[in-house]
Amino acid sequence: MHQVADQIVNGITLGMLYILVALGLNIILGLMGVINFSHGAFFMLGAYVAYTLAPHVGFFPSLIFAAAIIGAFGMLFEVLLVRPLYRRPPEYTLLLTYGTALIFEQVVRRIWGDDAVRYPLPDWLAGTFTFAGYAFPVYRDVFLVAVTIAILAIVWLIINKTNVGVIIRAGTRDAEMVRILGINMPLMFMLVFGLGSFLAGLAGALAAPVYAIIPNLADQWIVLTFVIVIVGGIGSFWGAIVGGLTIGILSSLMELVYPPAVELTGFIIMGLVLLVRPRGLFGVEGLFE
Amino acid sequence: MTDAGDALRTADLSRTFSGFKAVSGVTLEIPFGGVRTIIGPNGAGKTTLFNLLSGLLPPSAGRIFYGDRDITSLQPHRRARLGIARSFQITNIFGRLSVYENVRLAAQAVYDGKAGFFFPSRSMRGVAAKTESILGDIGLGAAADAPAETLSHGDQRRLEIGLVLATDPRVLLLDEPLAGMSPTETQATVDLIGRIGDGRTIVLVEHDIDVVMRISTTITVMQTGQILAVGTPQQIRENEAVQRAYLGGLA
Amino acid sequence: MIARLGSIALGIALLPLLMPDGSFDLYPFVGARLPLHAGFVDLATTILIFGLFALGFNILFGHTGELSFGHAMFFALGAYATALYSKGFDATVGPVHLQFLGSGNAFFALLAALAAVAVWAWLLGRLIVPRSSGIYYSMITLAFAQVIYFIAFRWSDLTGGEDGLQAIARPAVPGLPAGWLDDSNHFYIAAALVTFVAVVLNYCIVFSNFGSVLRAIRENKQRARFLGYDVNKYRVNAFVLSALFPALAGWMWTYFQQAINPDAGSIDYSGRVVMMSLLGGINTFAGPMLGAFVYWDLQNRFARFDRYWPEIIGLVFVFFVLVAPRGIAGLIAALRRPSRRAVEQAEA
Repeated sequence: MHQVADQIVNGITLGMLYILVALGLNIILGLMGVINFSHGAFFMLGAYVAYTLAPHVGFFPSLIFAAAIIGAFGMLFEVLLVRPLYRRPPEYTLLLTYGTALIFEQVVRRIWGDDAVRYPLPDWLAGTFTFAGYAFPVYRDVFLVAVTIAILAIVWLIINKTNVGVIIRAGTRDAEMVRILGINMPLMFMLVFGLGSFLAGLAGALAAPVYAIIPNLADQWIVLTFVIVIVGGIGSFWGAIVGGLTIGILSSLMELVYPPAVELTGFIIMGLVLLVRPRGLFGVEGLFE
Repeated sequence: MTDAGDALRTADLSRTFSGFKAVSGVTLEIPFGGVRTIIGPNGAGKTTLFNLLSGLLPPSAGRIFYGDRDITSLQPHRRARLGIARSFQITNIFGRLSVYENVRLAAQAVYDGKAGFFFPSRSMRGVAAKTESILGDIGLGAAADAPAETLSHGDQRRLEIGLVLATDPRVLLLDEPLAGMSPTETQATVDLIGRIGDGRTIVLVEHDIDVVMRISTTITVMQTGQILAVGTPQQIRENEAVQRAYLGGLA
Repeated sequence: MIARLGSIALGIALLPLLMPDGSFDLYPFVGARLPLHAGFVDLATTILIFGLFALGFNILFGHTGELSFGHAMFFALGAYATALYSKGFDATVGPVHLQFLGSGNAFFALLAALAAVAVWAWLLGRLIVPRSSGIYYSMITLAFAQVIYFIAFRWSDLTGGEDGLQAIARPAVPGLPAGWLDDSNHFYIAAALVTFVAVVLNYCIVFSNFGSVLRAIRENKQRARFLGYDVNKYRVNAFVLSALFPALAGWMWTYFQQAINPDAGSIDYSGRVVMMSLLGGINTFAGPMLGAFVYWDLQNRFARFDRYWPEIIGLVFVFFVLVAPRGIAGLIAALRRPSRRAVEQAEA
């Protein structure tokens, strides 16, 4: 029992990071109809930037700075590279961002080397916390989860309670219509791309103290993110949350059932979801027909 | 079923879009032969009816028959193979392919299933002859090598009719074939529709009321998803309900 | 047709001479021995194998208009099937004990590779095709490719895990002395023959009635469907056919490398073949093969002095996506016959 509870808690932590990364990708995909293959690289860059900043600015500010830097970088990226491709089929954005992901990985190797870097936690987060007889690492099981939930609440408020959010929701359903209504779509796209990148960068920064930071982190994460988006449904806020948690928890539990199949868990779920609900658990019918 | 060809029928056909009844309880019989035109104000459900007949949309309720056959749940490509072909309101062609290739692909569709992986395209003689003759019919023989997307709007619309014709249809569903055409183009297309009517049923959705009155055998008037009247052009002209529907806002 | 296939044949024959300071052992042709640079001949073999891989991939991307981002799964599956057939295997799945002693017969290994890939591609195609298109299709193919990758990586009993399978003997060629294929030049000749036959097959598929329907689907799925084509059936068939060429390439790759590891099924390999196709030009028949040449030539030039060489390939690729998405073949066509350009590209 203890093991099962442990794995579920692990799964939730992992799930939180999955949610942040997948939500970022999903907001961009939903509104703009393009995939950012470099999204995994943004996650990785978030981890490296936080690692670099932490000794100078302190742990907590490093998280925020890293996320903000990646968010700003995402906006620049959108304006300079993604924008020229809007008139082409969305496949070309996928291709372009695949190319940039290759470049980012090498840049990371140039700057930080090929080996995993260690990211020390400050003392106040390094301990454990005992509850009902179980000891939980404070950072992983409390801090990380709390920060993620706070950020998700903010994103939910942005999407549901602000003017920008109204446009995002309307645009996800029918971008053409929103354009006709005279909304400044280029600005919206830039902001949304920035928000998505911010979430990826933040997830990377949060993940850095828990998981090994290595230059080929990006590839693993981008595929998982795709799987979560497919399972949860394109363009869906709750889809990213349910997809991320489901895959986080079930793949952690697979560790107890059959360890060699841990990485396969997400793909099995994806296959089943495709069979039963091709648009994903929370997906909208008709998108990407 | 007669030798002449099959009638297209619907029984209590409905289609709802999130609560809104676009087509509601339409029972319609379009006998073989002649030009049947469906008219009605915007939002009357004409295009939705077309989409139901051609299989683009599944109906919410009701059945569709072609002759004795219930085709309600047949996929579009199966209906096309039965001889029910359609054009679209927004021109729908193979943009980057040549005009010749556009028509050839349509002519080849008839042989789908027999067309192997390894037979070079352009090798089927029947298809080539058919393509040439259709290109002549639609007056685009000289443009055969041009990419379809470089044609003028009117020529593109005629090309689409050519594609539809090349599939050997018994029933042609043409959705606003004259939309956006210049007067000259309109006349050429009306002549074309007149020429291809032999041995076929033509079903039109069209707004140009002068043309409609001139070329239709029978007219069906729709309003708010339902059939308001059916009759010859003369009968429709004299129908009071139709006059009210069209002029009601003004009177 | 003859001219086009003839120039491809000539290209394949002369390829080793095009390698940087390459010189080729012309012995089998002229009976003279020139200085031998096996490394460059091997590079030429690599280009052939990846060229064939890309040519298969392009049945989907260039001709059907669908971007599979997971084609390395077919390459890896074909390669592993070949390796397991050649080496034999001895693995347990639950209560079932699998054992096969292995055989040097390359022809049967090829059949095994093609059969495995055909079955997997058909099942996957039936799952994916009716449920997705556009970038959704790309995401799903990428994700399923990872399934093959992780199986290769984790099922150590069968696949050797991360290290893969080594010491795979090159097959004997009937009528030639044992070990004939162990020579780089000889292997190149054999690979060139196989590749050329496959290129001819690919050509026939792409320019058949079937292939013309694929281009119709690329241009306008809806119109194709309403003309009477069962579009999804064509898309599944295209998926399977386009998987068989990577399978064949994987078969050659295993014998060429005499080893195979999970990298063959990685995103990296899937991405490479996408890049090659685009660099060469997806709207021409031979563009992807040209792209394979450009890719490996770039790598070979830059990897010697820059250990971060993928960065340069990434930069070149990004440049092409932004500025010249029709690739090198598109640029050449634009220079040669500007007025006929659109037609040529659309029909190729």
